[in-house]
Amino acid sequence: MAKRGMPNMMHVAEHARVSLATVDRVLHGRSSVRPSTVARVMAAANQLGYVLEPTMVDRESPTRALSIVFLLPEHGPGFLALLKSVIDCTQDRWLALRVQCHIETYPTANSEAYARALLRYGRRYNGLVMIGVDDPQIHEAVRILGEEGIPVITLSSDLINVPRLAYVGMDNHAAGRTAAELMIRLMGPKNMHQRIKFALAAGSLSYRSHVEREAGFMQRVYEHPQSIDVVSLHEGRSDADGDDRRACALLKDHRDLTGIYCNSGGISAVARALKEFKLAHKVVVIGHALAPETRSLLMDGTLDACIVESHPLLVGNCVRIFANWRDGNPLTQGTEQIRIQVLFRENLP
Amino acid sequence: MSKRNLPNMKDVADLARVSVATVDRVMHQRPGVRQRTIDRVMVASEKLGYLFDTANTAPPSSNKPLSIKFLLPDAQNTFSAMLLDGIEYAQERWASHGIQCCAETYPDLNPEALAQAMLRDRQQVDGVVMVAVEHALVREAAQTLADEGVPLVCLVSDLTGAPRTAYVGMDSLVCGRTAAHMIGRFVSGVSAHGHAKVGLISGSLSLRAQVDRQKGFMQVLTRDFSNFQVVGLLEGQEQAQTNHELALELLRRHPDIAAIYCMGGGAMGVASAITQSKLDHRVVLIGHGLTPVVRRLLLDGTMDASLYQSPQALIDNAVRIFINQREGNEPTEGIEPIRVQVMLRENLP
Repeated sequence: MAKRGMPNMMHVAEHARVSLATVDRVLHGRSSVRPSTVARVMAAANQLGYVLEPTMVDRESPTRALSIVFLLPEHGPGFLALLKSVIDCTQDRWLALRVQCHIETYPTANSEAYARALLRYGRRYNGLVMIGVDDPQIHEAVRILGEEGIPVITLSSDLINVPRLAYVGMDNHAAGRTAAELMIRLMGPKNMHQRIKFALAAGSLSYRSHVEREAGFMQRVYEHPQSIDVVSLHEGRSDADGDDRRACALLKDHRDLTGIYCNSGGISAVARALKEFKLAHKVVVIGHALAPETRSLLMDGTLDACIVESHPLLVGNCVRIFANWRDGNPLTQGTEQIRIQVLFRENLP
Repeated sequence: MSKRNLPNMKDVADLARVSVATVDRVMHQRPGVRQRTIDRVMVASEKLGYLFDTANTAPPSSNKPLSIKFLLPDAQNTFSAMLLDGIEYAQERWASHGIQCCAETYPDLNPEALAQAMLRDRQQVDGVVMVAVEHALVREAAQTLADEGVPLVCLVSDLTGAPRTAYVGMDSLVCGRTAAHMIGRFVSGVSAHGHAKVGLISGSLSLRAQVDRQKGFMQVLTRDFSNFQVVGLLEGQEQAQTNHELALELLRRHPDIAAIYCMGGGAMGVASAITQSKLDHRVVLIGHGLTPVVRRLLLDGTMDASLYQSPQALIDNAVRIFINQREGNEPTEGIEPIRVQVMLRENLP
């Protein structure tokens, strides 16, 4: 290894048992190299932790290897850990497309640090995947990256009016409608005189995905022939105690709740309160995102249904969109629609 | 022996009592040949003094063309038609990987026709994919393919007790359990103690998928909704007209029926019987698939939910299994299992 301990192209060549010229050809896509050799070189680069520097990448070359980054919050709900492991596990699959995936993190709940991280990592890699947060500083950072020609994909939660390349994730408005539909169906038939009351436990409004789910949910609820009251509960600044207090207050004030829709991944506080008030299994609960916690709540019946999107598809679509962008293909070529998947206890994967 | 008195592959095949294709597979170290068969071929070639020259024994090139034969029930079944579309698309999508797909249909789930189709031209194909009919003849044909080293993948419906490389499709037990869970909850809400009548209309019970759906359904119904009563298990052979007549009779005898699970195709017939009996929106109907007709029934509310597997994902997974075999990987490496997806009006893709 070189003295700084950083692997260089020579190391990649040795590891892949090919010549330096071949590594060069693969990384810069200069001429045709057999797919099996491309895979070997990319795998070697990956194993050695050799990061392709944008400065080394020949911008003119249509088939150059791309080094892309998934910028994810440092601490976050359980599904993020799953997403990270999917990115790790599927890395090798994308090497044949000459795309190398990396994960970087930013400190949670601080949009200034997030904006700084966007610029830092956006400039270090050839493409960046981010979870959209509606905040002027974040918008500004994405605009700057756009001006510098760095492609950005928003994942799971979109940003609008910024120069992003694409959004990868489910239709969150339809997901909210699906949640309402499920809740109406799972509560069973009610006669015209029975009062129906839903609670919406809303996640942070900084995510467009949460806002859209809320809108979709309300729209579908209002379409129901019987009148349904909806009370809402808005999440505070990620302090667990506060969430617990608010969830308990909700159940104390509304003992006659028919259902609760948790429109973000966070469901812990609501589940604890339901158990405390002995209302688990009596109130229909619909949540989002599959994580160890949501799994166990589905299993014990506290959570009735969970709405999810496929992580491997999310990651695969991001990679393919960057490869299509590089190759000048239509961006969505080879990608698949991200479906709104409904999981009950019985069809949990 | 050939005239030059030098043994060739045909001579080895004759002596080992296997096909030339099998000798070829052994020579090129392609997977899918049983050890016993390999030994027989090696002994025969040794006896004859047939030399595997180095060019022959070189590891298979990763671009060696693969010819895959798909065998589907006849195309008047809409699902088969969608699978055929998927195969056509796969042909384009995988052409660059040297994959050639061809499709044949066999009439009326006829096991004899299927067994014949499985064995026809087997020397010319590198793999067979089929929707399996449960029958001794089909198992026997599967055994012959295994003996000769032709990999076999069961699609949508599996074959019990016969050698096959992999099964690609939803877990049918999970389908049945999910359907029972939805019916139980949609009919009785959060209290699982309600009394209700449920009808089951299956496709052909010579498909293992249908038998498993029924088993899974009964498992959950008897466990979680013990006051539900199954009235009639009818076999509609996936034909809309037959389904219509069966459902009409069922609804006439049990006008208070709460739900029907249509386990096979042809849900249109059940829906029209419900409408004709003026019971729309009063009978919960759960079906399968996402044909244009099913979409329409979901949208107009006659059908409440449908369990769905993507035809394209099915075909792609089958093709990937053969590519994995060619490259010496585990058959299902890197392949996402087919999930049971719940489709409601609101999350239609």
